[in-house]
Amino acid sequence: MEPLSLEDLDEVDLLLTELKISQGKGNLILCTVASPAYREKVIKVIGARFPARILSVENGDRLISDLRSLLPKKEEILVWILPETLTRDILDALNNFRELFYNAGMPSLIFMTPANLDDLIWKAPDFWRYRGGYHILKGEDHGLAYQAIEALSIPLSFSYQNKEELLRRKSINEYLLEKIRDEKEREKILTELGSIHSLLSEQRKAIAYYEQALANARHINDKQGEEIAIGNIGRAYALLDDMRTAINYYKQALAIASEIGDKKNVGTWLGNLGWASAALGESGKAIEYYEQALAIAREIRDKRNEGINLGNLGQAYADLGYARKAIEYYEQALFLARMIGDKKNEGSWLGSLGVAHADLGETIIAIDYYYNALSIAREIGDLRGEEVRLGNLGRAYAALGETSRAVNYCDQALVMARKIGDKWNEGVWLENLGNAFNRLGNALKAIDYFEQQLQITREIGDRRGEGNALWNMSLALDDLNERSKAIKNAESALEIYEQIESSFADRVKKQLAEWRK
Amino acid sequence: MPRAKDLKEAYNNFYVEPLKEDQEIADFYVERPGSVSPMLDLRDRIQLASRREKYLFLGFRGSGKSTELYRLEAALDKSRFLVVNYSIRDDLNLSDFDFRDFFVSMALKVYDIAMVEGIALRHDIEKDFLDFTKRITSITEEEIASKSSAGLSLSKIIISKVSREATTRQCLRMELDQKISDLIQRLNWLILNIEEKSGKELVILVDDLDKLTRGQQSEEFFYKNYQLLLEPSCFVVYTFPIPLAFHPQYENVRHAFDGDVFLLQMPVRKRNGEPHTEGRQFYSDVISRRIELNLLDENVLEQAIMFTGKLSELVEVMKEASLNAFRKGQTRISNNDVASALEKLRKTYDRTLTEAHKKKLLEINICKEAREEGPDSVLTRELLFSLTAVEYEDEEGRWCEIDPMLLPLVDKWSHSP
Repeated sequence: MEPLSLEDLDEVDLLLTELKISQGKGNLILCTVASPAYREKVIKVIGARFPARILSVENGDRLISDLRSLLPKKEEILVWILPETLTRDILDALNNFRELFYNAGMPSLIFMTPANLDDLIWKAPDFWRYRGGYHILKGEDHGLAYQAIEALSIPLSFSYQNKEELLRRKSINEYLLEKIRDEKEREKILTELGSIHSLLSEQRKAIAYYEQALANARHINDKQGEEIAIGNIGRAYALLDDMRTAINYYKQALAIASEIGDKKNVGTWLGNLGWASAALGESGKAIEYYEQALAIAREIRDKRNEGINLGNLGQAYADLGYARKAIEYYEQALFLARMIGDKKNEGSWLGSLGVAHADLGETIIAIDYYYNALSIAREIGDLRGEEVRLGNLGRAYAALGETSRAVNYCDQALVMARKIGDKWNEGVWLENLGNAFNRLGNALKAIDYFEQQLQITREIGDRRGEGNALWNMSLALDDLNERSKAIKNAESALEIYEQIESSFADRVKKQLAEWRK
Repeated sequence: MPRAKDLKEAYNNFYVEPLKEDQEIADFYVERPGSVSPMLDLRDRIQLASRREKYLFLGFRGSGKSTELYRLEAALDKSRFLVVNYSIRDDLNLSDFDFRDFFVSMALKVYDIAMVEGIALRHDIEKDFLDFTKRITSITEEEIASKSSAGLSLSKIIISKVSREATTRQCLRMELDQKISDLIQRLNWLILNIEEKSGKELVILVDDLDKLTRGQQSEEFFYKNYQLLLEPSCFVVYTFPIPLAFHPQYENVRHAFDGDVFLLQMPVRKRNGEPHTEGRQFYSDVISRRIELNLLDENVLEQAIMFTGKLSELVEVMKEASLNAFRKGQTRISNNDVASALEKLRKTYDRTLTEAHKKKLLEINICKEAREEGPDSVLTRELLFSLTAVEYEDEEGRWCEIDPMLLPLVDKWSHSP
């Protein structure tokens, strides 16, 4: 069996069952898949079970004429592939001629993107209502995995246009720090230097400056300075993916802000608590924090944080699978970022819009957003943003089946991740590259990447990534006819999946049982 | 079609297409309790009327209108009436639909019934009609000759040309632009001649007019040209899209017709939220006609009925649940199978509905009424069209409610920012 996403195995099994019991009869079965490359894998799985006739839908007239001219074959199934964008004539043809699918004398399986499904529900309601089952496939999970990492609230006391200006500002502040003796002024300079390093993705240096600023604030009993320094330290830890430590700092900052009535920053730390909760997978909690933060931002007419909280609400809904709702929020956030000239977040929301469109299967639109976001990241020297967008482009091209192009972008993302010490994503891009080379038939090179991934996931304690690296490696080893080594790796992966109670354990168990036969 | 005795048969018996065969009706049809059946209502009106009346027949998608029209055709006294029952989807291109195409197809259907019944039309009326039709569709004698040899009747040849060729439709519309009354006059000549020769009254049942998917298309058809719909000199029942009944214009149009007959969904809850016993029994009977009830675990049916409350959706959910159960090697459908089918649909709608839709649905849930904000608003109609909002009727009157499947989301939507 083609390596389908573990999360989809049950649904694909259900789809195969439905096709089996519909054989020899007309039926209309729908299946949504975001990525064309993944869809091809699913079709291969189906093709291995049933003789399948594959037809691409190009326009409504052609669809009707294809349906009318079909000669039924008892054992066969028809696989229809809808285009990324459904034109009015295709929607009308589906809606008005749905009986032709039932008259075909064999079941029809119709592949579409998640965005197509939305269009069908509203614009071809009869087609939607008079169907058989519908199956929603999640797509690659540990394949060309994507991890959305977007904006984090940074309460800046300054604005800048590009990286050059940022570096100039850094140099000026370093100079001022040597000259200025006033404690309050020094605190401001230290904070700004911390923020500049944070923007340059140098979080450890940022933390060092923020800690000096915190010491200063406590020394002169500046409660608000203390609150901001603590919050900033939390934010830097968040950017280092240490969310528990970040949450701890944010809660302290929030308590001080509430105590001194600093409403603006109460909103800021609430928003950041939301972000950290979301990163820990606690989307419901995140939404609660963001909503509180959004209400405060609106109350005090803080456009910047209003935008950030809107965008982050979008992100939280995207995490819960509501891509359309996410897009609505991102668009509002993008509008506000452009209105106030907030370039960094403009890039972030463009990137997030790309992700949401990719989730809906609108890969070409997604690529367009990613390029725009990449261009902004480069313009302002946002290395982390650049890394993520390069990786996203790799992910999008992989979804289109353009593996070489995907490798090229993931490789650039990997270089960038190493440059800025983004270890978590380094593991992600290594996994993507391993999978891409596996797909290109180069199992040896794939194993090399998975070994590097294994090393780094162990270093940062990413258990799920560690399990994935072992499991991917076992699949590649099996391709090289190294069955005993493959079993050994799969056993180690299984042990990890069971420890972290991952549903992937079942899939690994099944594969192991098959290999041991 | 026998009741399903196993889950594979159950999956195949849960199909959502209208019942149109005598055997299907005998096996699966369930009478709606309570108010007078719309089929009987229409039958009695037609049989009692002294003039050729025109009716609107309204119902939600999948509520059973086509089945009721089929039953009406069967119920009308054959010694008194000649029935033309057809779907516009059979002959016309709904994607590019116009009232002129509609009347051409109606005239050809009427001409067809004369041919099928062996009614010899007056030569001059027949020739005039055929010459006129050929002219407006620009069909050549060669086309007719080549297709006739394939066994197609003249009316089939013409209507297929209208349906498939955009240029023919354009030509027809230009020809009829100032001459629609010429066509209607010829249609009425045909009707008169058929009724005279057969000694029966003609009844035309036009199905699937509610399937005009574009709101603007159906509004133009029903609201701009409704006077023309009253012109044929025989009984006509027009299916009518129920969401359009929520348009401010509906009140003006409704009175022009001799009656508007509704086929509403049977409720599963009363307006005040209490269980609606007769409604539930109706849905339960629908399912028990299709499968042996020993294929269901306890409370399965109750759960499916409570959270669908719509005929087509209930059948759809039961179909999916039977597939879930079959795949797991079970012999019966469990509550989990139904719950997962419901949850999947619920999530799909939750993801697809916009914030404005959700807000409107919350409003409907609270006040049990569905009204547009103003003439330009389409939100309510979109919801009714997609069946995420439904109108019910029982002994206490009519009211609206959101799709029962969405009720568990009300709380979440209420707290959404």
